[in-house]
Amino acid sequence: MPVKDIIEIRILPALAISRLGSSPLPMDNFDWEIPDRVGYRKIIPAETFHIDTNTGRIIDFKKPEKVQFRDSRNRIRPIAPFLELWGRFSVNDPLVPVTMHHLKKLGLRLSDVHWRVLVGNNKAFRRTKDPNDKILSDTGGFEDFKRKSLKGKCKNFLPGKSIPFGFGQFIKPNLQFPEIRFRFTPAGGFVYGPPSPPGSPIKEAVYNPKHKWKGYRDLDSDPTTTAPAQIFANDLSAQVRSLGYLDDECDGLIEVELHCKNKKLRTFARVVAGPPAFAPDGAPVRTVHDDLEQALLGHAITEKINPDDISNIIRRAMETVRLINTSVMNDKAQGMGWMDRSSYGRAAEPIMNPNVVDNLAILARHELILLSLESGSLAWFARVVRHFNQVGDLSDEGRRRMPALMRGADGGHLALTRRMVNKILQAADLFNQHKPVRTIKKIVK
Amino acid sequence: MQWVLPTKGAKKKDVFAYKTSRSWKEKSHKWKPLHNPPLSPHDSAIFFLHIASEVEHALMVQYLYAAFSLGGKQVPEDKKELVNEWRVKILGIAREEMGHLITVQNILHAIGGPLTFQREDFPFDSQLYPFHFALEPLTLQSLSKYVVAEMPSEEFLRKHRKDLLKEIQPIKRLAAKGNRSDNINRVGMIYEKVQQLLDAVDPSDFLADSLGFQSPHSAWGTNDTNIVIETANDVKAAKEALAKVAEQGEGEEISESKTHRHPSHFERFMEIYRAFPKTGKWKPAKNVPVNPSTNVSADKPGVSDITHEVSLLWAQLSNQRYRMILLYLSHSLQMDIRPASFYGHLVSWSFGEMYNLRSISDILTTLPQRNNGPKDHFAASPFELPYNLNLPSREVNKWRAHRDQIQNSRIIIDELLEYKNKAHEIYLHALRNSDEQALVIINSVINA
Amino acid sequence: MKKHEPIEPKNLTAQLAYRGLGNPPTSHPSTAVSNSYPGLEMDFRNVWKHIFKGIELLEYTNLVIGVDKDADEKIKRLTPEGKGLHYELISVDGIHMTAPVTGPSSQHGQQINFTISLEWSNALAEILPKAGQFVRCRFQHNQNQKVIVLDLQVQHFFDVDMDRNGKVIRKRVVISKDLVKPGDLTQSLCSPWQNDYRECGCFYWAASRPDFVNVEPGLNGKSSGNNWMEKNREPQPNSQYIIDDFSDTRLVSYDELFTGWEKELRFIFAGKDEPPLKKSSRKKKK
Repeated sequence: MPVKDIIEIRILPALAISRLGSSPLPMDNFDWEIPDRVGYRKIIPAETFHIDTNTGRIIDFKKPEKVQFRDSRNRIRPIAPFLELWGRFSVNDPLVPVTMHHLKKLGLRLSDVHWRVLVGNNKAFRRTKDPNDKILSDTGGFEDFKRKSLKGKCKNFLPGKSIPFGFGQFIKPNLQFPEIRFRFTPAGGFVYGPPSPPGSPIKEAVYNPKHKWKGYRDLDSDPTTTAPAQIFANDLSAQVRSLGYLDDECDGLIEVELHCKNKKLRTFARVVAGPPAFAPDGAPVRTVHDDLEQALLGHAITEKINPDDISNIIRRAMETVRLINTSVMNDKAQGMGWMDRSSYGRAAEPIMNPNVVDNLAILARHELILLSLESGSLAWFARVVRHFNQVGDLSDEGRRRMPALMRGADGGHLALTRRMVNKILQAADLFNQHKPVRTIKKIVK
Repeated sequence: MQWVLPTKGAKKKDVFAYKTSRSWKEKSHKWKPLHNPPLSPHDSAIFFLHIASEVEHALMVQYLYAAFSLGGKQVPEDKKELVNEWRVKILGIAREEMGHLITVQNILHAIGGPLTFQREDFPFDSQLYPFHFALEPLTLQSLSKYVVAEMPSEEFLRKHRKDLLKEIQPIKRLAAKGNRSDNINRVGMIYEKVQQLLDAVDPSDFLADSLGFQSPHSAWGTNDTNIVIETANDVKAAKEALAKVAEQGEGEEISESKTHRHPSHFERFMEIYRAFPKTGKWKPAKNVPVNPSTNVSADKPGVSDITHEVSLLWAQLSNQRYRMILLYLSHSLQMDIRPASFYGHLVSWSFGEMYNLRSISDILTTLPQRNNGPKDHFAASPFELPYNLNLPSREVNKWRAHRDQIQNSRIIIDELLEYKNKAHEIYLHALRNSDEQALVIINSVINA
Repeated sequence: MKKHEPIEPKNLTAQLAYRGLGNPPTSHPSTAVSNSYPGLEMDFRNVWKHIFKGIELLEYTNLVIGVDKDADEKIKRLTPEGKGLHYELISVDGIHMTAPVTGPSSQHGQQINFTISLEWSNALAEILPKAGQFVRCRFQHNQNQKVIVLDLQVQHFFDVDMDRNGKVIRKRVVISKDLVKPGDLTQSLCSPWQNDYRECGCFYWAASRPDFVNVEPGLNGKSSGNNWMEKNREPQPNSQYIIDDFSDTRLVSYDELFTGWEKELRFIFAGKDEPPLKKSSRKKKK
């Protein structure tokens, strides 16, 4: 393919989830295998990059013998995702990863690729509304392979103090891996705050206690507090005063600029840093990907449904339910039963028939549904699935809709995205058409 | 000898207060004795509830069989959607019959009678059974039997739906032809009889504490109000429960109001009947046998054996899972229901096994019935009853019975896996795995 | 080694699904919870705050909490100075942003009657394709019921390139910079993250933040197992699940979680605890 021009660039993945961990050794790569439709996902080793953090050089790319979530000192290994630069070289070309060979053909050097990391933590600001409580790390543009510390700075910090948000590094391409890639490594998961008495869990005092975050209160009179409110470390008094604690989570942008001869191409991706997935052989029933997909493609289904999409949704429901104490969550004094009572004054009653909600019994039901999807069990799910505008239906029937016993983004009973619901409805129809049992893919990517 | 109508507590006004009376009058004088000598009021109510249960069970199985037969390559492209609609409709009716079956067990609990999961073991000399039990692919003739069995009384039709009365006559004739020339009895009649008998039961025989054993609608997680699963602990509630059941079949009462509602079984079958091909130009159902059997050596008339070795194994697996449903269900209805009990498991398993039966039937109807038979003759679930449906009397031994069923099933699954059919392996492995998980629970009870 | 498959620029689904070479599945948004209250990796509700140009919405209800400094005077009526925040977005292009809350009340025989603001992700599903266009927004004062009707421009959800006429010529699957700035996606999460993580009713995130682990069938039909936050998890038959209570010393405390979360929290594989942690080699030397 002759490369004469580059017309656009993108970073993929466009949103990467990093996960905290204090180990200097980032997490192994792995794949999921589903050896059995109703069984657990199996975590199997996958090719993992080993990077020399000093030079950005790729040391090797191989499968670990065993997937290890902790290092030898029991520290959790952070998920530190790679972001790849993709591009197109003419209007008729598809997107491909941009390599150093492409750059050479374009007469460009690796130093013409400029990166910038802009990540922030606005948790204190979200509450105090003091812009000086925003914590931001900006590396400015760089084109070398040195690992850049992401120092979260804040006007309300004590002089010279910052919170380390992790690292950004331009990975040096080589002949085997000529692609242009970047790595974001999140922080260790430490807690920061104002100067505190000895024995406090603060790793380092960074926050100037004369500012609002220390002692902040979510007031009933304020309609703009977070929901749920008062979810910050506090003095455990009736006033629920903030201790001024901060964490090293963040989210933000990885920007890239390609300095071509006659133009500059720019693009960006997003990263977030969150806690580890502590049950890494499963996935939540409704994910950010589901919501992004709806935003991208709409709530209606216009294309053919992939049956694997459906078994994936039901599987995720099963993976969620099996780690919930369904009997407890069904109780009128817990979970959604309690929420309905305290938020809306609904009669205090368990949600499901308490005689049938034992965790293993409910799990068995989900498994059997998953087992017989093609033979119509999905029709059952389709009948009982909660629609997005039924989240406030607190009748017995309404509260027993699926997914049950969980809370959604509006504080009501959880509904799936409308797109997911429409997929289920359509597939229930499809499966009803007497299709023989088919093979499902074994590897889930 | 004539059937002796119970008189206790049955004031004239009461006996005929319920809508049932119309057809009861219409029919009663013709009835042969059903039990000789006559039974006490309490026992006769139980006797008739057993008949109701067996009939609901038999209908459910026959409807399932009919639904599973639908579809296939012989259906013209432009009819596929229609046939699929019928399949969904009939499966829905079968599901509702399951609800009726459970409701009848609940009422049996309410009056302290034994439960039953048998299926039309009575000989067909009773005038109450709708028609001779037959597993058949859906044809105009088999459909006509379902229409007639679920229809409201003629008296009702005469009064409210003269148009239907006329329409039903040829259907009745066709149905009788398909029933060894015996007329078809309306299912509704049984409930009309039971209604009356319940009035005669001593009120103290309705057991307030029986609710702890009855299966409530909420346990089934269907959230589907079309599925009637009712509980009762007095005569009023019991009669209302059975009225709902009867109503769902024939739909007399609500037909009059013509408001939006779920159509009755009768209406749904009628709708299919009207659209069903009359000329045989095309066939909605596959070539599946009438009354399939796994008993290869049996040379019974009217029975069609499955001889293809893989199909035979699948048919045996289907029988095995059918047995499991009945035992789980039976056990769940013999438990004192409490949050800390294994009741939830039994309900989940009964619920799940119904779908397993569907999965297995879906596979069977793609497999040949016989080794060297025509390629378009497929096998189907034989729904054969096991030698016995009784559970052991001690609780722990009931669990041993469930364990045995899983082990029985495992033998068949393992044998099927020997055939290394890729399309079947995934399902079989998953089924085995899900059985293993059930076994962990079952063994924990046995070993406790 | 896996080869990269080229992706058509219009195949946005494939771009969204792309995991990246060397990245484990838990780095992909398909493992991040979105039914956020408030969320785990991010509070996805924040994405919608600026979906209508000129105004800022509260992430979890339909309340208008701000208008742009350079916004039209008509828009500024939504947040009159010194009068508090009262205007709620009740419909967009005729589509309701709220739903009724109904059901039996704790007052015997009565019915509850409330309104819930629907989450933006589902409520605005029909509106997103109108990005760039003006849509009719109805706002209502939550005290005096006064209504303000405004035509507001829908922002592009994803990053786009436009020609001079504002026509989209290229769309990428990254959330637009107009909607969220660095730090915005996580702003409404707990601070520090361990806080609500510890005691939220696990209403939605069990697949990442387990609740009930080491589950075994109990003697009486009730499953036994541990609360994931239990400190002592010695195997015991019919172990009693401890219902969450931050003052219960059998459970991990806030402070323990702030400092020692990596040791206190255990990975769960196949529903069971990871093997006990090895004694750290460094400690051994000591």
